[in-house]
Amino acid sequence: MKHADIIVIGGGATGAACALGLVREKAGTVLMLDKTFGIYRPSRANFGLTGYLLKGLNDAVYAKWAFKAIQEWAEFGPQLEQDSGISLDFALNGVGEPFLCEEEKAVRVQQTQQLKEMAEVNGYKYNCEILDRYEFSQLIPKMELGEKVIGGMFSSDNGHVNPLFMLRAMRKTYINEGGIFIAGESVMEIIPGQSHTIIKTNIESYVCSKVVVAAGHGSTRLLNHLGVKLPLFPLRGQLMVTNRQPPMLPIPLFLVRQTGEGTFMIGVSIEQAGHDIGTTVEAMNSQAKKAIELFPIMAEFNWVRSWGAIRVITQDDSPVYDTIPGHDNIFVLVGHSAVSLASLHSSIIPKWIISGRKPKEIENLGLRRFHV
Amino acid sequence: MFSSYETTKQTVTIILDGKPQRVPAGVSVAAAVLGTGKTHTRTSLISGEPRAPFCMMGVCYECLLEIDSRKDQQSCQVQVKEGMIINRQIRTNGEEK
Ligand SMILES: Cc1cc2nc3c(=O)[nH]c(=O)nc-3n(C[C@H](O)[C@H](O)[C@H](O)COP(=O)(O)OP(=O)(O)OC[C@H]3O[C@@H](n4cnc5c(N)ncnc54)[C@H](O)[C@@H]3O)c2cc1C
Ligand code: FES
Repeated sequence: MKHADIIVIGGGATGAACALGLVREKAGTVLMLDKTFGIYRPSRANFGLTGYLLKGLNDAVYAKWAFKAIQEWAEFGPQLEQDSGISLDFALNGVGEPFLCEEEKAVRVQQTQQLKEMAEVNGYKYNCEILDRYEFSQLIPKMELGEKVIGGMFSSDNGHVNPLFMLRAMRKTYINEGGIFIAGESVMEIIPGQSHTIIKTNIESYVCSKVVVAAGHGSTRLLNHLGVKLPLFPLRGQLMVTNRQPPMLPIPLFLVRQTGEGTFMIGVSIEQAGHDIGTTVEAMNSQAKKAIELFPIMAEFNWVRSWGAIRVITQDDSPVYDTIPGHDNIFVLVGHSAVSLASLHSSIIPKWIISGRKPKEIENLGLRRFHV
Repeated sequence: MFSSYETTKQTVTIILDGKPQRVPAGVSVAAAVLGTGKTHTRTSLISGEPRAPFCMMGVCYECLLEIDSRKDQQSCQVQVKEGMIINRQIRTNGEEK
């Protein structure tokens, strides 16, 4: 049987960030196992925002965690680019969200107020300005706003990244720094023992001291065997991409962003569709219409591709970081926004896994909150 | 979908970058433009690099051309027609030339 100190199951945004952090912290032999399943691919199909804007409305702990993640990205991003030699198209030059009617504005103003107050209580500053139409248009001088836009909000220290380059850079750096990556083996079972855990894949068996389950929706089945019910549910998002355009949208918005290659991405629908990653005409139609309402010039762009992907999300939107009851060497890391949170998944989380001492700031982001 | 030059005797006239050109009938716009000896059909909007049709089967989006006033058409997927007006999408400093 092959041996490793720590085995990370899942090589998506969460697993790769954590595995990278573990080798950087010199945690011994680290093995990352990933079998890419068609439906478990949000790490390869997401929108690429690195932001805390509007995050944690239900949960002050998560709000602060998300805020911290973006502060850390300021260092994590450039360091990852340097270590991997891969440019990530990463920028923290702000994220905006326009308002198309007074009701929309009222909701956003209220949410912003709430998050600002939560932040103040928790000792940090939630940065978001509410802008009128003129001020908002100044952020995007090269694109004319649709006539319905009455203003918007803007947070100057949020940002975006090419999520595919991010994933590749994390995996590459992980391997360069001594991590072992086995792609194409599917973990079938986790068998806990007194001091060691056995990981059975479709091909091999491995023995290790610690296990990190970061397999997105694939985690549910693995932990079910151990009697743990993960509070995850599938929530689909559909994205469209256009043909390349000259650079004209300098900041990403929730609905559209322009990538470093010039492509516009339009998204992101929120639908309960089980594990179906298909696309629908209705969603495409409604997203495209909204995009054109926002920027009429987009009516002239060609739509070249689209796809659906399944979010890994909990009832309260916050991630789950915990160990399994009775097995404090089996860690579980699952949740939404793993692009935004990659900086912390690569620093604080690996430190916790190595030391076994869960930091206070994520004490409440465990499984127990779902069983009250 | 492509017919070879040998078997096609018929031709059509297209207007390429403002100049009339006789090209084989029935071929794709991409093939017709390449057949006139042009080595590139557009420049990258970001890097300014010259680009040309690559896959000839609708996948790579390298072959974009302005066809009858519509920009960014996948020219490998469009058949030439008599009188078609085709412009290559060549830019310098972000401006169309
Ligand atoms: C449409 C959409 C837009 C999004 N936009 C953003 C955004 O803008 N910003 C942001 O921060 N987040 C965004 N997200 C969320 C983000 O994509 C996810 O949080 C993230 O991808 C989750 O990563 P993960 O590694 O936890 O899970 P996954 O990406 O699911 O990765 C898990 C990996 O484990 C593998 N695996 C599963 N089971 C097994 C097994 N038994 N054995 C071996 N391997 C296994 C899977 O195949 C997969 O490769 C978006 C998500 C969607 C769907
Ligand atoms: S040459 Fe590839 S799409 Fe036309």
